[in-house]
Amino acid sequence: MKRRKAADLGLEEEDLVLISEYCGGGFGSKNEGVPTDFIPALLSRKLGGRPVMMRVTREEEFYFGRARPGIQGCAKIGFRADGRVTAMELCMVIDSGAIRGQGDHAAAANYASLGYQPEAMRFKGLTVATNTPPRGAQQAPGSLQMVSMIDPLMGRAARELGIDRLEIMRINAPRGRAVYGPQRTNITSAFVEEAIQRGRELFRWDEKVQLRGPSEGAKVIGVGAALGPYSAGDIGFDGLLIIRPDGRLTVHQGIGNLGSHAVLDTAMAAADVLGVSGDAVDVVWGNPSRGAPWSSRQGGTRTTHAHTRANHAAAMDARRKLQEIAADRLGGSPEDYEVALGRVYRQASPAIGMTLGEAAEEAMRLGGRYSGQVLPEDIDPMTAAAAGVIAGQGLVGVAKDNYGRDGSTYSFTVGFCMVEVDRETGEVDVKEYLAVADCGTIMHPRNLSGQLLGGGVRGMSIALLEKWDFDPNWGICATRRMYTAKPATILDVPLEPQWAALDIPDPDTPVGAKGIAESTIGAGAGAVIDAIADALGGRIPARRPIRPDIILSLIEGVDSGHRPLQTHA
Amino acid sequence: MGNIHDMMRSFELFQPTELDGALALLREHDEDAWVLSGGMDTFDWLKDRAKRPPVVIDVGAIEELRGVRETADGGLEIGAATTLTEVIEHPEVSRRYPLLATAAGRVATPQIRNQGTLGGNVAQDTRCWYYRSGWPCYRAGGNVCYANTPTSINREHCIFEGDRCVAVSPSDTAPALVALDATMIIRSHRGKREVPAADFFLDPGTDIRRMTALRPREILVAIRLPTAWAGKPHYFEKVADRKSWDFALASVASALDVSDGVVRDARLVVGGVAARPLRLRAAEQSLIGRSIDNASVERTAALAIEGARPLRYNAYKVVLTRNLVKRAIQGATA
Repeated sequence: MKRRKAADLGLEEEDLVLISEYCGGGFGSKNEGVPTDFIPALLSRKLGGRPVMMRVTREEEFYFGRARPGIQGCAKIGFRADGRVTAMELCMVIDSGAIRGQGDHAAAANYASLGYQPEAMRFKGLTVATNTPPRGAQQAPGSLQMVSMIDPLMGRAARELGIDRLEIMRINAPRGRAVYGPQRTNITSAFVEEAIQRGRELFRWDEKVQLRGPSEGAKVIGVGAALGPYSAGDIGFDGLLIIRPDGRLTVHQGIGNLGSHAVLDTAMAAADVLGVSGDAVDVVWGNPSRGAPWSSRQGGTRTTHAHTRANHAAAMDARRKLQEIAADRLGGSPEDYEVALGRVYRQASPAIGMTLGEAAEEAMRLGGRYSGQVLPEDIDPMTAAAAGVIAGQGLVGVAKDNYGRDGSTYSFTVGFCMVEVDRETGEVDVKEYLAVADCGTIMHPRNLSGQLLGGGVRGMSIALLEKWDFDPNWGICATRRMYTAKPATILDVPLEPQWAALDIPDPDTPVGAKGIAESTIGAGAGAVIDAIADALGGRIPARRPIRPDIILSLIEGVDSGHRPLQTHA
Repeated sequence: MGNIHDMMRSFELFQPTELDGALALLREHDEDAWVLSGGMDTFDWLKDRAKRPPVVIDVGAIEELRGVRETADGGLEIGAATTLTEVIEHPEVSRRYPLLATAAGRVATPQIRNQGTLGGNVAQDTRCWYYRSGWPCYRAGGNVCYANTPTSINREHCIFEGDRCVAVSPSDTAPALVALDATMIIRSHRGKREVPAADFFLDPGTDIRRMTALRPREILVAIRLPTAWAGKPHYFEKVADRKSWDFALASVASALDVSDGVVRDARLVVGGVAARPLRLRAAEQSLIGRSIDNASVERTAALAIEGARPLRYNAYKVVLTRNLVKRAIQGATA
């Protein structure tokens, strides 16, 4: 972000300090920077450096903010008798808003290819510009729309073929280094079948399906599931850390704090390599003037994968230096030494060793590469500048992630859902939800649960409630307030949703961790829609969100007022 | 038609502690004055700059407007500035008029109910988004209805009594109060007048500029509940997109007087489908003198939706109203 902003402002990178200590969500759509970001900076410059605050109202956000591109389309899917998808044809039309083409439909096709592994596939996509605000990537661009549209069709196929819903998901699931897309790109790992089985047990799927059908009065229970895939990691960034004479480990992060706390969790990858407990770790972030290495941008679920790797690389660099220093001081060869529990010590005789703080002092005395005054040649200039801030203050670990990988990294969330639909009012009560993640090594269970359940809830909100309306004659938005845009409240989702994760490491990354943030939302949306369709005897509402009017119109056969390819209504 | 979001317009704020003081202020400032109670309706208008009253009279400190009192005939009188939470939690309201307590409990959110008042809930303005956004429609004094065209966004608008305005009454308590034959007590410097709840709410054919019978310089001071429907079988249901913080797509309130299995009298009132809570008199009449069975329920429900004229996006409200009326009869319990 700093590099991009400096370029856009016509400044040298080293002349810009971008302070971003706390940053809320919606980051995907802000990955490229938003032109309005520059307005306060430019005005401040015009005013001789006086601080300038730009405040945007909710209403104004609806004029130039970024919304998710809507997709409509048709699908034709062929199945064998056992439920295997033999062919899939998708035709999608995307609403691109006013400014530029969006790629959500192309991404959706790739996710369909990955998630269902069709033996043959054809995709056609068309982009339409509309006189509505700009579009940008929202959580799981393409994947959310695809899962919402296609997974319920898988449910219908299961019903018509007389196959268990989870079985049709399993038989079509990606496995191992599955391939996808027209280029037949492979992924690094997929353990979807394991996630399905884990969810079947935890959700008590076989018991739940026995509850399907009429429950009380006009209400009917439906059970559904969906598979949300999403890209889960980047590679090739730099890690930077320092062990100070007091023995504390400071990890310098170029990423910020988005509330998911990956900025802290990914630092623990370094701590684990160096055998340092969490309470002896400090994390520096948010202000490049304190030393921020070249980092991944924080969108597209890159961070956990990219920065566990980068911090692991920097920690391995520090580890080697610790071993070398110990061997130099205490004898033997570096390989004779282990690093753990705040010390570097000889494996054969643990009493022989030194504390990390002592090693840091030695590093300062040695200088050169040990204290960060000589740096690897392959790190980014931004990292070199960051290392310069801390050079000479301890033992510096700095390295580029050169671990490589064979393929692209993806994570998967399987959502399981039970709903109760009131056939007389169209209301939907989401009774239960479980999310099971294939996201590699679990870094922080509590933060992971927040991602899984938060994303799932967002998916349900989008599937059932949220939309914006524009008067087509006047081009004005009708849904600019919280009470008209209708994000889900706590009473609209299960009060105690559940989660689980496989904790199976990805083989192509040293820590084994994959990102998770975006595979979660499609799982929530798709599972609740699939469950509603199940409750309605296999009829799938064709529009989202599925509000009471959509359900009642479907059940009663009345005109909902909507027409094909109509949008924003 | 865009709103200008400059600084909020200054207004003169008065916070009288006596009702007479408020009435005197209203007389003095006439149509310049805006009465503020809980503020749940007021602040939306002021924040959007769609309303810019020069004078605001905050009646929140007038004790006379708060509280629940027993009337001489054994009914209850509820001060208009009583919060919805206070209404819900009052033991006599929940004991004698659970229909009202239930309806009040479905308003918005706990935070809004803690601040919003019963009087404010019944006197609030419509939520038609065209009108609320400051568009110069008939209700706003203009000469067009933006919500009633072939392309308008009118999913949440009316199916009954659509005139030059197709907005709906957003109040959850209003249908309950009409069903309970409540009386609205209104004061002004000229004195007091009492208006039956059924006549308090106006349809656009009667007055397209106002949702209620409140005139300039008047304050709704209390709502009186007679004993007629106290303890009788009743039913309330509100259907909305969300389970909290949402206005009704449709709602129904019923009160039935049943003895020996025969309906002696009935009140059936629907909300969210017209500019006022709509008492379904023809449907009520079809029920009176009959027992409640499938045939009577079906007949009553069919009558309830006679004359419905849906707009482009709200035909579902006809079905929904029919189904809610059925439930209001079959589900009524003491």
